[in-house]
Amino acid sequence: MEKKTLNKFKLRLEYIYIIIPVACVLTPFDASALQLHKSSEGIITHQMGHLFFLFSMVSLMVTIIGKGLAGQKGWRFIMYAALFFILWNLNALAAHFLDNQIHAIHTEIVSPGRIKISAANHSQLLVQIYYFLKLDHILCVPAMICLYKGLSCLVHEQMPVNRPMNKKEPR
Amino acid sequence: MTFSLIPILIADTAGSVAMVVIALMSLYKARLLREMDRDNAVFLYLLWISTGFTLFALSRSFGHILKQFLELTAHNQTWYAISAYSGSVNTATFMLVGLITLFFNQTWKINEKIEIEQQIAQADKLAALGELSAGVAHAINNPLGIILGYTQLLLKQETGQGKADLEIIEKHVKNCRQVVSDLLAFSRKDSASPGIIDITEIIENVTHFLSNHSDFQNIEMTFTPCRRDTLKILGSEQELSQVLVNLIINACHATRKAGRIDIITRKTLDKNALIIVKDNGRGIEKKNLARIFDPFFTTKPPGQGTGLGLSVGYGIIKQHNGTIKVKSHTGRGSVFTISLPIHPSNS
Repeated sequence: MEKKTLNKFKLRLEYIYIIIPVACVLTPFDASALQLHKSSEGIITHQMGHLFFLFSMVSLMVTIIGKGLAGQKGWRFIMYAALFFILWNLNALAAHFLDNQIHAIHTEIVSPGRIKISAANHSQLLVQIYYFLKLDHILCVPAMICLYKGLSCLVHEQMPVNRPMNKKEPR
Repeated sequence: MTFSLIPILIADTAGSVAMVVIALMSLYKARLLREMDRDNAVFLYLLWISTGFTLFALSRSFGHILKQFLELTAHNQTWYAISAYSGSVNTATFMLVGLITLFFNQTWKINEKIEIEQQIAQADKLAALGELSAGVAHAINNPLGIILGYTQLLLKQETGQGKADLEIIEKHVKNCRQVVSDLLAFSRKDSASPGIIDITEIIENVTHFLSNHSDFQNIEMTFTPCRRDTLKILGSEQELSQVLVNLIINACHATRKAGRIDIITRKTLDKNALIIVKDNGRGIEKKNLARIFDPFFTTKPPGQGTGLGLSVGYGIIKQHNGTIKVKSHTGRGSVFTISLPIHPSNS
């Protein structure tokens, strides 16, 4: 008798999979199926992209060190490239956080050669830090140079020195 | 607080141009690297990551230069309208670089694991074959000696057709003894006494010896020794020469006696000496790659190869605590890499 009741209950439970979707379709309300994308989402995505890029560069560094490749000149340069990109990502994250995310910094071009930077909390130090953060090419250009140097070294290591063994020496 | 805009403008514009130029130069180097060794998965990774970095540099620099131009020409509204698209493309490109990096980091680890497992499987198989070969070789060696002895005795007594027949028997018995000798070498039951030997010297001797052979007249053979160090190992000069002669002759046959053979030596960070024998011959078919170190496996026509050369070489390298690996692509050639531990006395 008890077993029969249990089976009946199980049978009813199976109907839930049908009942819930049908109920959802038949009783419409303001469901947020298509989410509203606000403008701040852009900067959040961009910052997450920077974090992801940073993480991948850390992973590259860990792989190079883990495999003992850091001792080879070419790979060492590639590791430095990853390090510069990590620093560049941190720089970009900080700059975007200050100006786009929390709006702690306001910039304004006051004349053709001058820029006015002001901090919401009137901190002169924050203003100066932000000015240097804007010069982020100081980090990403060396990163690209290191990548180029690393690849050049690897190419050089692969290049065979042409020493023909079976050609007769001229007398 | 007001600042000069000039350093930012210079860093931004010059930096953007530099980024694009250096990224394109890096891409060129990565392509070159890939062309040099198409089998190297790591070089493929470097090509992909360089492509990602180039896309990133192009999108970022184009956006920055466009921004400078539009702001200087008082088109701030235009920049405001397109900046979101420019930023999105830039975000997508550096996420792409991140994805490529993470994907290949993982693939690199998985490939290494598979390679180690395959090596263990191959070593197990060859160890079993080695034991079997040793037993068979010992059992055959003594009767062969008796047959050869009696044949040579009879040869002294016979004349005419009988002598000719006995000479054929003698020739084939000698061939059998050679096979048995190779089997014993493969199974590590006999070995020459080891000493400290210079790899560069051995390769120079072997290449010099082979370059005088008629088969090598149309072969361009180069030797690139390790530039930094002398490579000294503990081993048998005779055995190592035997392995190298075997590999180089195989390479010569693969190029149909008219191609290129490159021999390169290197020192790895984990104190190993690498000997790389590379040819641009017809390569080894994928289905045969797993079997080339197996005894009696040969792709040569019957009577032209015993199929023991590479397996004997494998045994010798194993005895020297080294490894031998092969990479090959049909129609593009093969690369044999021997790795041997460097002797501590190596300066």
